[in-house]
Amino acid sequence: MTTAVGSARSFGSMGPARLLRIELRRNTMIWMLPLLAVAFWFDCYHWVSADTPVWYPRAAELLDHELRDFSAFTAGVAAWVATRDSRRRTLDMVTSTPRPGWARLGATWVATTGWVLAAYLACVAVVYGVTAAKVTWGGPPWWPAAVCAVALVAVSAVGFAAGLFCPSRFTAPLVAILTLLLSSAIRSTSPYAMLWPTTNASPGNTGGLPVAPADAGVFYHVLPDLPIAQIMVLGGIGLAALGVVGLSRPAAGGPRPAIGGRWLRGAAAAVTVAGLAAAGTAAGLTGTARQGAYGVVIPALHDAASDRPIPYTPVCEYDGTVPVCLHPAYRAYLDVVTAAAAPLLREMAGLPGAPVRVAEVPSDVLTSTDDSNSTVWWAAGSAITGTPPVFRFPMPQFPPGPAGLTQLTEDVQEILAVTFVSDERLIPPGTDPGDGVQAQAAVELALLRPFDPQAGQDVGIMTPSSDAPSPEVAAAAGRFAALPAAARHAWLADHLGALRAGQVTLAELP
Amino acid sequence: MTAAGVRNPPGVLRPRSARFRTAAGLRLAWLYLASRRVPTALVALAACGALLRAALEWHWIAGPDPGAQQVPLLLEAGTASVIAVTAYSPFGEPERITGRWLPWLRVGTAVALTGAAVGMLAAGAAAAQLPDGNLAVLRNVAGTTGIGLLAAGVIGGALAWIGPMAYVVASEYALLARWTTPWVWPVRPPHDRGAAICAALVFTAGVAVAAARGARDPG
Repeated sequence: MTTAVGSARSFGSMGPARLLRIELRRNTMIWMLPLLAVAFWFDCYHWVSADTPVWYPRAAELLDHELRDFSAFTAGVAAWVATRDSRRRTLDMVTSTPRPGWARLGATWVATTGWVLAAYLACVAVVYGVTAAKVTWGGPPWWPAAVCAVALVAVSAVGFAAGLFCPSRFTAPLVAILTLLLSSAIRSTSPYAMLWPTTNASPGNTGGLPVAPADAGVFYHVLPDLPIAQIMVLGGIGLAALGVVGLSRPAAGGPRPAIGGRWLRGAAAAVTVAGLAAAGTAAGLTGTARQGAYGVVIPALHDAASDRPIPYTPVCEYDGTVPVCLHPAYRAYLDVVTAAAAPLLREMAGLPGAPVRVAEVPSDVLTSTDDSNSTVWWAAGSAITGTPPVFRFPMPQFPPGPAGLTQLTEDVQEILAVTFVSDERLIPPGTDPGDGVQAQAAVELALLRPFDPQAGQDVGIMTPSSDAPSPEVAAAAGRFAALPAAARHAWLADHLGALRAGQVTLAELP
Repeated sequence: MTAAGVRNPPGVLRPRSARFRTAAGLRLAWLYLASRRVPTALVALAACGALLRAALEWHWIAGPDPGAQQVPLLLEAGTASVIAVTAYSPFGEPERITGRWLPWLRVGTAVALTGAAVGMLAAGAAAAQLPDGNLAVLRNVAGTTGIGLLAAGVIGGALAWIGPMAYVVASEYALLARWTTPWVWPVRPPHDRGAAICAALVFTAGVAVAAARGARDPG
C-alpha cells in the first residue's frame, strides 16, 4: 500500500516533465525546422550579410525578415497542433484523463513554442556572430532580439487558441496567411500600427511611426520606449490567449476537469485579465508616442538617460588636404570618404568658408524628413559651421558591395559641394531666391562634373519631367567649368558670399 | 430449389435509368465535396476576395515599393493554401480502393476551386486597379495552387498549406531582391510568357499528382 502511494506520487511529479518530453519528441514543429532554416538563410541572412557592418541595422533585420518568416509558420503550426485532438477524434478520451486540460494542452504549446524559440535563438546567434566578426565598434543590441522572441511566443499562443476553438482544416492556413499579411502588408499612419514590430513605416509619417535613424545605436542609444511597449502588448496578447485556452471548458478542460478545475479556471481568468490589461496599457501609452530625433519617444516609458550621447573617440585620416574624422563604427569607410572629399576640398582651399576639417555627425530623423512628400532629403543635417569652418555630415545610406562604395563616394562629394555652395540660412525668409538657386546649381554641377558625370540628377536642379538638369543650368555649368582653374577660383573668392545668398543669376556666371 | 434466383434476383441486373445514374452521380459528387469541406473552402475563398477588396479600399496596395505588391500575392497564396488543404481525405485506404471516380473528382474539384479563387479575387478587385491586373491573379493562383497540390502529395493534405506559404516567403524575398527567374512568377510582369508557362506547368503537375495519388494522408 505504501509502495503504491509512493509510485502515484512519483508519477504525479514526473508526469508533466514526461508529457513535455513526449510532446517535444513528437512535435510537428520539428519537421518545420529545416524549412525555417532555409527561410532564414534565404531571407534574413542575405539581408544581414548585405547590411552596413553596424550593430543596430543588422539586428533590425531580425524584426524585418526573421520575424515575418518565422511568425507565419509558427502561427500555422501552433493552430495545427491545437486541432490534434479534434482531428484524431480523441477529444473524449483525453478529457477523461486525470489532468486538467490546461496542463495537457500547455505541454503541447510549450513544446511547439520551445522548438520555434530554439530555432530562432540559433538564428540570432548566427546573425550576431556574423555581425561581431564585421563591426568595428559597439556591442549587440538586445531589444530587437527580445521583441522578436516575445512576438513569436504571442503568435504561437494566438495560433494555438485559434486552432483549439476552430478545429478546422482551414484554420492553420488561414491563421498563417493572416499572420504573414499582418507582418508584410499593413500600412498605417496610426501610432498603434507600430505595435506590430514588422509594420512597414514610411519616414515622415506624422503618426509617430517608428522611424529610427540609419545610425541608431551609434551616436545615441537605441531608444527602448517602443520595444518596451511592443513587449508589453505582444506579451499581453500571448498571455490572454493562453488564459482563454485555460478557460475553455468543453474543448480544453473537458466537461468536468478532474483536478483543481475551479482553481485553475480562476487562475486562467486572472492570466487573461492580466494579459489584456498589459496589452491595453501599452497600447494606451503608444497613443502618446511622438517622433524624437533619434527614435520614437513614449513619455511614460522614456528614460532621459537614453538621450545622452554615447562617448566615442573619432577615427581620423589626413591625406595632406584636410583631416577627415568618422565615428569608429564607420572605420571601414574612412578611406573611401577621405578619397571622395579630397579633390573637392583642394578646389575649395583658400575660398571663404572652406572647411578645414570634415567630421561625421549623427543623423537626425526630424531634420532629414520632408513632411510634404515623406522622403528623406539626402543632404539634410549637413552643414559647414564653426570657426574655423568644419564640414559636418551624417553618414549617407548606401547599398552593399562595390556599387555601394561608389554611391558613398558620389554622395559625399555631392553633399560637400551642395553644402559649400548653397546656404539657405543666408536667404532672407519669405523671399524667393529664384534664379539664384539656378546659379548655385550650375556651380555645384561645375564642381562635381570632373568626378561624377551624373551629378546633375541629385543636386536639386532637375526639370519637372526629367532627371537631367535644365538646358540653361547645364549650359552655365559647362561655361563655368570650362574656365581655367585659377579664374574659377578667383571668381568664387569674390562672389561666393553672394552666390550662397542666392543673389547671383545664371547670366552673371562667367 | 435452386440457387439461380439468389444469384440473379429479379430486378438487380436491370439497367439503371439515366435519371437514377445522374442522381447517384450528383450524390457521389456532393458527398465527395462535403468530405473535402469544399463549401467551407468556398467561404474561405470569398473571405480572401473580401480581404482584397478591403485592402484596395483602405489603400494597403499603394505606392511604387515592392511591399505594396505583397498584399495580392499573400491573398493569392491564401487561396492556394485553402485549395490545397481540401485535398485532405478523412477516409484513406477504403476510399482509394473503392472510389472509381476519385481521380476525376479530384481533378474537377481542384480546377473548379482554382477557377472560383480567381473569380473571387477578381471580383474583390473589381472597380479598382490591381498593380498587375487579373491576368497575374490567374497565373499566380494557378501556379501556387499547383505547389499546394504537389505538397499535398508529398507531406499530406492537412499540411499542404506549407507549400504555398514557403513559396510566398521566397517570392517576397525575390520581389525585394528583384529576381527575374520565371520560376518565381509573381515577380514577372503579367504578360510574361515564361512565367505563365512555368506556372501552368506547376499547376498541371499538381493536378496530375492530385488526380493520380491524391493527398498523402494516413489511413
